[in-house]
Amino acid sequence: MWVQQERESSNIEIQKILSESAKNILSETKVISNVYEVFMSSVSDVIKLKNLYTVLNEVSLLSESELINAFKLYTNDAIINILKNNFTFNEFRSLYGLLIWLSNNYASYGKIMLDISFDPETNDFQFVNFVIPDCDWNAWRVIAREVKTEMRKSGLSELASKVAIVCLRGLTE
Amino acid sequence: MPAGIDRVNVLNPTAIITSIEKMVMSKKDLDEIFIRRLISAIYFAIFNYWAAKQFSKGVRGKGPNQDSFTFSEFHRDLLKMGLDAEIIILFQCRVAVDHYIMNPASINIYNQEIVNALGMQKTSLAINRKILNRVISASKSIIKSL
Repeated sequence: MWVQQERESSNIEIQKILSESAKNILSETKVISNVYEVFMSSVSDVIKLKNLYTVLNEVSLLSESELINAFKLYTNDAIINILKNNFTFNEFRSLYGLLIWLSNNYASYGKIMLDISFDPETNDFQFVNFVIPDCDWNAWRVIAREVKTEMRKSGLSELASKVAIVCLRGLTE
Repeated sequence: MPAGIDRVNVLNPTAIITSIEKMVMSKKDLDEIFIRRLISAIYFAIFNYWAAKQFSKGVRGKGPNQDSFTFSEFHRDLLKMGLDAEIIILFQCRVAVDHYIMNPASINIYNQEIVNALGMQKTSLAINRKILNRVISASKSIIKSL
């Protein structure tokens, strides 16, 4: 009898332990599940940042005055005016989208800045330079190809011919 | 004078660039005038080759034979292909050696913030053997892609 009671008590104890373990496993799974969700959410944010097309859509609602103010963080008034005179409004907006996309994806190379190039013989405007300060010659070659591929994918093939990715360290080192 | 595709073959700069590369490797002392003229020659050899390629594709330029293209058209076509590093180094070096006499040459920068952020030293281009080798390397990449 006593043995029987001891067995039952032991079984109840085991059931309790199992139940607690199950609860722990479930709660840990929930934690893992939450971590996974946060991770996946971050990944999708990163994917969003990497997609130029998405950035172009996001900036498509900006007005001209909003764009000009936004450009002022990256270059001066004289250059903004030259851009306005040499690009259509849609191109001007796409340039800003590209600037944001580059700033998000190549932030480790320093702050992206804008400059322009003229033909030294004719003084005509040639292209807009997106200057990445801290990348060397080898990185420059890779980045330029990546950027132009992304521009083509996002429907900016024509604009790609008026945009130069310039790594100053790669040019002068 | 042969036309079309023959002009592409005649103006293909592969042989001259290989010769320049060998010469640069074998020559111990390269004076500045030598480096300047070689960089200029490489730029124009590539420019002529690109123009011949355009002409053979049916693209027409200006002049009596419609065979004159602009540097801007040349640069933009290469930028479109993602050859930014190669054409920018070629273009900046060509401008430095043909239009400026100082060494290092200053790179024209209109955004003062860039000069302030990087300092004058990082915005000047030294005309030396190292940059000539880079120009040779860039020109070989361009020829491959054209």
